[in-house]
Amino acid sequence: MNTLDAVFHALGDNTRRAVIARLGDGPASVKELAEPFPMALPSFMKHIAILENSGLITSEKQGRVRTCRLREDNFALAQQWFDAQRDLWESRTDRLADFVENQMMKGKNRDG
Amino acid sequence: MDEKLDIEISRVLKAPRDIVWQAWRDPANLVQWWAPKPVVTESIKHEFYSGGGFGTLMRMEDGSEFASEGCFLQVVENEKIIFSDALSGGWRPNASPFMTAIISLEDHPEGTAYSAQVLHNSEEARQRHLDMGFFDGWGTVFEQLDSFVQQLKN
Repeated sequence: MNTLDAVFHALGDNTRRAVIARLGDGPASVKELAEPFPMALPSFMKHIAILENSGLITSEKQGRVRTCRLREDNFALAQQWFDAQRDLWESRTDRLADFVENQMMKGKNRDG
Repeated sequence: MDEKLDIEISRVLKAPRDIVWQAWRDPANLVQWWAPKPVVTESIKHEFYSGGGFGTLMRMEDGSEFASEGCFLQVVENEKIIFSDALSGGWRPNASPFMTAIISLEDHPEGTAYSAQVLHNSEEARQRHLDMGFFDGWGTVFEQLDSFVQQLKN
């Protein structure tokens, strides 16, 4: 998977999106992140691993505490992709507007 | 269809629906607005009916070319055009699906209310995304990315 696919894959899950949302407020320990979810820690760690592999988060172990934080660059990558698709269709619709309005003018000139 | 899942572009076009329809129906018209200049669009296939093939070739200034082939899933005169590159003409599955576009036309006092809804997919992980409910999360992802990027800017 390329990075963008990995990002979308990682974001394609409620638990992982909730983790991302929580990390938006600042770094947190795995224990703290896992708390709201009714699942065993090993299952939760799989979600953390997917997020980490996608490059959306990093984690660091100090003593017995693993702390997770967001990585900003890959969010920007996904955001850019969305933006590019939006730009493509917005400008295409603008050009269509120009085209049909020109066709109208030509029609009027012909009729007149 | 859930609006949260899509990129949606809406405009009021100051021309009646049949003029807008012609801009889509006739490939000679389509190539004039499909891609930005100096990209030259060539229409390879334009079977403008439900199940017909839809193909464009976009030629960049440096000579590189980008071809895309799709299928018109639904064509309802003066009302609706749905096409996807998940399929090619005759509903034959394509190798690398990417998007479905839903174009709608409605009467408006100033002309035509035009909207393009675009559902995207990432190529390689598409089935997994569907299985995992990726599209259910689209709106949420958008909001989170937006707010996250806003935070970065502040």
